[in-house]
Amino acid sequence: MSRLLGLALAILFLLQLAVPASMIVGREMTLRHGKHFRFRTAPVDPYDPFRGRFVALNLAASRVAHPEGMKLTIRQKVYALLAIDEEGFAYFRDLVAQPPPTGDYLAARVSWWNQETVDLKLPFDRYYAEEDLAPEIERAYRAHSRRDNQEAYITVRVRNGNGVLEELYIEDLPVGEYLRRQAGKGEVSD
Amino acid sequence: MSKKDGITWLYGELPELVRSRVLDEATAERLRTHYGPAQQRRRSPGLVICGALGALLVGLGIILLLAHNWTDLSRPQRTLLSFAPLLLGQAVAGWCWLKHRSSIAWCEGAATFLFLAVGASIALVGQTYHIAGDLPRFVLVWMLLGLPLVYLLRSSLPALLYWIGVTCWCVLGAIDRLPAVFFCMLAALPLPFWWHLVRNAQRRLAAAWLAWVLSLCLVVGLGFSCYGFFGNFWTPLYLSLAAIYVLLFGQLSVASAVSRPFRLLGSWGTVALLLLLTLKDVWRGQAFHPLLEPGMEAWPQYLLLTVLLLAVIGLLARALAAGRWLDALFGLAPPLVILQLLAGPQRLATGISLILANLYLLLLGGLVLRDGLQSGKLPRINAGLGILSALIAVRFFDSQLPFTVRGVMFILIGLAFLGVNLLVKRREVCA
Repeated sequence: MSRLLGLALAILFLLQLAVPASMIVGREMTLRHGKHFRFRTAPVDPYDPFRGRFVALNLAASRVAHPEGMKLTIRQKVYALLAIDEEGFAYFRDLVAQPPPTGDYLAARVSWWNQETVDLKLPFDRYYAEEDLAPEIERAYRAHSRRDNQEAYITVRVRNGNGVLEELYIEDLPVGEYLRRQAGKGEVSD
Repeated sequence: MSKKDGITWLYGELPELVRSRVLDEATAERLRTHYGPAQQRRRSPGLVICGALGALLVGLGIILLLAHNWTDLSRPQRTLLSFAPLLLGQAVAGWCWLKHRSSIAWCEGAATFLFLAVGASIALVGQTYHIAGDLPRFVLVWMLLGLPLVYLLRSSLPALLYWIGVTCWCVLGAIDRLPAVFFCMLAALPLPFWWHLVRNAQRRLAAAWLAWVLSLCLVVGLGFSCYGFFGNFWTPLYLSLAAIYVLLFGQLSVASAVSRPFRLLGSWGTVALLLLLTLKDVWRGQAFHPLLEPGMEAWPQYLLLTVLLLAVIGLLARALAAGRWLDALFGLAPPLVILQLLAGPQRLATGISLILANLYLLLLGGLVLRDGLQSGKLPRINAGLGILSALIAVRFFDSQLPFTVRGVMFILIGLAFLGVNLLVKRREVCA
């Protein structure tokens, strides 16, 4: 009995390790071997008690035209076909119910729809930042997400329908680097 | 050496003294009779509470430290760090299982720490890879990975955390349109452990705390399990749950600390629901949400309601057979309300439903009061008065009734109260 309980405890320990490990392996593979895309964003700054502060990402590309005749249900898994616009940013050119045999695509879930458009819940909807930096990142983004000044975007790696957020960029700089430069400029002007 | 320790020492020496013929068996037996049974060392609940709370605080502290999100650490470093709390928790739990399996304080502390470490690890991976927010799924995976610790380390605090966690999953999942109706099955998983504690009267404090948390979590979870169809189901569902609480824990022979939360929530829940059913607007609302309207789509909710109702009827039959009339009155409410709802306002006028609900509460309050007066139990007398006062207060502010009707009704009830008082007084004088 005691041996059996010990074995059960060992199996539980392995399962507990396997869950974070499997999350890491899949995302590392995508980050290393996935194709690179850029998405325009519009963040705000909520608070997640378990995972600290993050900047919520609202991607312009998450609203897609409703394909004719496609029946949808809430939380349904769909596949969004990726394309690049003339400015080099990614957008979804179509939605399909089954993963396509060729081309780049992203698996997503339907969050809302009407006759014209479908809103998707994408696998990257937040950028986690250090507790003190998140409000600064949000301020920086807001300054760069006006209609006349859209210089914020995220880079994403996509592989086999899985997407992993790589970095948030402002004025073509990773957000950390951008904030460091801004702080440097502030000190010089002081 | 204290007297207790001295007796324990003496009893330990007796077999050797008999063997070496310093004493004979009869003398040894007389010594045992004279001093009585050796008192066993009492387990200190303080130690167990401190161990469990300490582990809880350290675990929560680690979650907060990791939530700070250290930008200076590279991705591989953070990935390695994700496993640190988990491996530490597993090492402590493994060591505790090997060396201190019989110590409740160690097992509670180690299991609680590991339970929280599982959540911290998964959350840190999510933070490192900016994984999209899916809080219900995160909570469910965390709870299921932590649950076996309840049985393997026989620890109660993880069971308590698990019940709170699955209730959170149910609330979040219902809003996110997940199948939250499975909450009942998830909530049932730690029940055998808790029931073992209750049945064998072990760790009474833990069993009582678990009883409070379970009774409250079931109330919250049941409502959110039927989130989409709540308008149709809330009255019969909650009345059935309250009736089961009252009837089941009135019939089980368990410690009063364990049955108290269920009996309290069940009885006052029934009274509160019946008070709501004395309001005209509530019955009107029920008419807009007929019980049969959701159709086949709501089969899990209908199944849940059927199971609860059958349980109520079974327990009600047992209560009637045992002559527990007061408990039976609590159990009668759900079937009667369901019949009223099925009849609808076409067959049973809303006015009649309102009068029936008022009479039911009046009867319930009166019987509880009478039972309290007969048994001389002050809490029961207060409960009876409380039910009647609540009914009176609701009627006093009920704008549906004209002032004149309310005035006459109040004078009549007041006279009845005075009459009962006089009767009781006269009976006391005669006695």
